[in-house]
Amino acid sequence: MNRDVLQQANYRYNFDRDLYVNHEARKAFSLEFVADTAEDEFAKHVREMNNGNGWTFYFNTQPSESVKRELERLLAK
Amino acid sequence: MERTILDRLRDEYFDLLPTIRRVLNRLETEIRFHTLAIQQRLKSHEQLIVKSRIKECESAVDTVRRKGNHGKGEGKVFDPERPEDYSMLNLPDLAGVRVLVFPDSRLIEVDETLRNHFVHWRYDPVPNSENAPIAHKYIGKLDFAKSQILSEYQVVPMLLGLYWEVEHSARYKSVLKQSQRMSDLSAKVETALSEFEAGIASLLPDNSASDS
Repeated sequence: MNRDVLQQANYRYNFDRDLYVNHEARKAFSLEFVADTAEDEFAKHVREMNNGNGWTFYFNTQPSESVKRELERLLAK
Repeated sequence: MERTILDRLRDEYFDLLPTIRRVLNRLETEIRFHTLAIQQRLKSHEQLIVKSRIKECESAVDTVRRKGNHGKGEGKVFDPERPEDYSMLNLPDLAGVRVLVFPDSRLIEVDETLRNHFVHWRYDPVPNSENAPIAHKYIGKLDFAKSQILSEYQVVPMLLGLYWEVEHSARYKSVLKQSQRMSDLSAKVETALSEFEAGIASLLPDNSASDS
């Protein structure tokens, strides 16, 4: 189950944003992405390193740059 | 200080609230008036209940955000570069009336009666998990007070409507709304209730009870 994978990787559910978030890894998965992605592929995404300075968002529909910035601002609180 | 989209929407909601109340009062009254003759002909086992509600502020904000984002709700944020995409006036259901009817034969009668009165309202049926309509929903504007507010009314099989009241509050605002297991269970309940209502309607003879 994808949710088990997230739990083992120290992701926490953010109810306000409907996201599974790991602040240390600076990665966030939407509920929709968790529900719709096959387990093998999903586990691969969880293992991926975030090489950039910003956050990586795993969404079914990629958010616009302005939405990414807004999410990063909200998650930084 | 710059006002956030959320602040602006909450202000807009409370500015509109007196008008929403007037619209709801008018819609409910018209529906009660036009179904009164049916209400008074109901047999002892038949039921017709009219319920109304105003959409709550936070629920309205959530829906505005989803619509403004063109259904892309992931992350649940407003796009700060497109504030003009968000308005309470985009919502079709700030004021809503639900007519619960039992059994199916009466539901058809109520639906036709109201459709003949609200002739210009848009039909938007409520689908089940297989995309077949299981309840009737109409969206439109009442012709009074220059109201810009859209409202909706639904004509719903009674058992389904009562089930939705419980299911909605238990599931909709929690992580369970994403649960496939809950979706499967919900589809089974809806099918069973629909079959029960159809069974009652077809098995009970028309003269099974005297008019009350």
